[in-house]
Amino acid sequence: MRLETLRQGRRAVALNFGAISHLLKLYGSGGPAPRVAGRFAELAVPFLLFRQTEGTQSAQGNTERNRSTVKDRLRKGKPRRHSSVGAATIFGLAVLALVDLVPVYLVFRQALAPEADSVAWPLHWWPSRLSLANLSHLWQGQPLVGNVLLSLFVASLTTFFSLALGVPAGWAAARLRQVESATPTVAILSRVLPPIAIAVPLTSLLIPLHLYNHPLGLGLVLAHLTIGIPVAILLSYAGFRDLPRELEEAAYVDGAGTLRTLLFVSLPATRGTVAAAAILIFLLSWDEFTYALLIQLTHRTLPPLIYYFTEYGELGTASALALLMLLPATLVILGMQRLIARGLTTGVVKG
Amino acid sequence: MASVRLNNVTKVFDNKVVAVRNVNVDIADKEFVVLVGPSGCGKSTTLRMIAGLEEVTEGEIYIGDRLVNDVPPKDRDIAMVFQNYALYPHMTVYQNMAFGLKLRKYPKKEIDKRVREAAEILGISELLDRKPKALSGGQRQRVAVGRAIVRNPQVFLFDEPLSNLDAKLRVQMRTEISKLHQRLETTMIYVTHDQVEAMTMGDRIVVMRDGLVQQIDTPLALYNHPKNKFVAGFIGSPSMNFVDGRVVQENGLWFDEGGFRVPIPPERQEALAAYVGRTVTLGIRPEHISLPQGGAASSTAGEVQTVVEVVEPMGSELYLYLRAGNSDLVARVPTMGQQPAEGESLSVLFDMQKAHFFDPDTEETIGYGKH
Repeated sequence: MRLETLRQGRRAVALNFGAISHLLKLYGSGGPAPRVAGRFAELAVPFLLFRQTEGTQSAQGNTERNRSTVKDRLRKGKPRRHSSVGAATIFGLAVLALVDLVPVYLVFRQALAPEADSVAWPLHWWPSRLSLANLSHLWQGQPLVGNVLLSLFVASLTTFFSLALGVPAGWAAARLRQVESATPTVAILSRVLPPIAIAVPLTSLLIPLHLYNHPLGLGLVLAHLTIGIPVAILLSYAGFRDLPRELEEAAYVDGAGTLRTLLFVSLPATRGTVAAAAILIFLLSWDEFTYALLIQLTHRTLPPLIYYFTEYGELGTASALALLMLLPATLVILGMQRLIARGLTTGVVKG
Repeated sequence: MASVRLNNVTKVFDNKVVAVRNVNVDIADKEFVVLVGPSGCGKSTTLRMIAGLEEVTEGEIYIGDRLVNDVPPKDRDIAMVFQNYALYPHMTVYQNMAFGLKLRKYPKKEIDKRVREAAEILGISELLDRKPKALSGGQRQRVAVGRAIVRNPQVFLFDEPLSNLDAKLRVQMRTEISKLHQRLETTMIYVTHDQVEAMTMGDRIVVMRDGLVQQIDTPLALYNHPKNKFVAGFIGSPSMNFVDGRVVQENGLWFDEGGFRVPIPPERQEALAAYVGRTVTLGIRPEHISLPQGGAASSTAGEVQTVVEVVEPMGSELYLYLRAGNSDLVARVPTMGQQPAEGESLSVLFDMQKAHFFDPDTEETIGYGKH
């Protein structure tokens, strides 16, 4: 019970890192420091989720052994180790919650205050008065619907293809010893490379393919797949690895081939993990900035649009747009907590 | 319903570990065969090769008359019950049981009929709408068995299906599976590490160790005529006592432990004549050591002086842990009015007709098959 709570705690920490990275990057479109922090936090997400599932495997895979370890610890008179870890987790969560909330507040404040407040010094923690001017300016000054739709379209397409290609790869990695050893390294590696370094050659590659500045953002989708596929592989790999092999063997014996086993048994049994991957990829694409800036010159997704507003000195309008961008992120993160926190494989093997 | 034949089957894993070596087993149609042995003996690997979940490195496996070496599991017409049940977590009990039939495109009505019938047999009719996580261990076990029987396969495979259950439930399920075998009249192959399960359930038992088949026989034949020391020690509880000693000739043959001496019965003397002056291992089961009942001991009984070390009352029986000469012995005797006290010296009788002798080097039974 206690371990379950701890596991959920760690999971929450990972997800909060995701949330922070998101908010920091949104808020930090103007300044380098929050952006760097955001990027750092973002990198930590798959890593934390990955490490966390690694821990989970031994815990879920062999409940019996796990129970006895706890008992052993209690017997040896060291029950406090867990409670101190628990306290640390709670402390960590509190700090994270604070870090989460401050940028959100600042986005709200800036979006709902008069433009002048944005640059006032010393910093105003409270807006001088509430104003909807920024929002109405954003609404009137831009054909915003097109940008929102483009962002949604790119993120959806990226999510779909990342899962379609990454999930089978993750499955293969979890089931084939030859593939397994290399997978996490390769997948992590592609996340460590600086996007800006890849973005330029990638962009020049897209020009002859007529995918540069594509009105439907197809070139950008290709670029985003370099981010989405590794995440899909890594997360689904962790999910499938936690799935008892016998479950698939039972399906084989029951009369299913490889494809039907994946579709009817393995995927539904790990749907929590796959859903988490989908959400994460959607958000990564939704707020991706570097590729979007270089590849979509005139057909802009929302992150470069914010950047252009700040470039033109319209900090208030930028904040109003940031507020808009926060919406799906917030919804998704709220939904995600519940989805992932539920151990969907419980009951497969002896409980 | 089909026979299963393993012909010189060998399994070598990628890391060069030989898990199963030259196994030859003929399993008749409708037979219940148990593969038993300590962990790592290759029994599960053998079963998984029959299921098609492991490739056969060498040899042939036939189900019925069909060579199945290269047939994928889905086309072998077998059903398997796994140790951890492996129920599909996202499906209800009903869907779990119907899954295999759906894949085989059975009509809905037929599926429904079969699932309900199987649920009836197993007493899980009221659980059909539940998900596996809402079931107890015993219930999950039944669903796993139910998933196997709805398909009416040629062969049932069981991979230690009871080892996750508590002791009481295990005994109950043991009987139920035996009953199921009688009712379904299908070939069943059952893997376990528990010799009691093997003895009580199997028509025949295959005892394995280190990838090698040690002996294939009926439970009683294994008990009465073990082929070697391993089988002798593995079958029976508490296990057989082993005592090392020399064969000496002095008015017939004797087994001399150093601290005590027992007569070798006349019908064994021929086989043991070659061992005079050499060391052999005497095997005597705890139930074949008795306490003198007054009167004269029978001529084949060997009387041994012992010291009682521990007494374990089991209810109707006593387990006596004894020290005789340089050896430790366990005796299983009926509970008596006055229990022997620990530390007391006690004279016991070896029923030498039922004793076994093993070659200390090969561990084979001396004179196996001659009595």
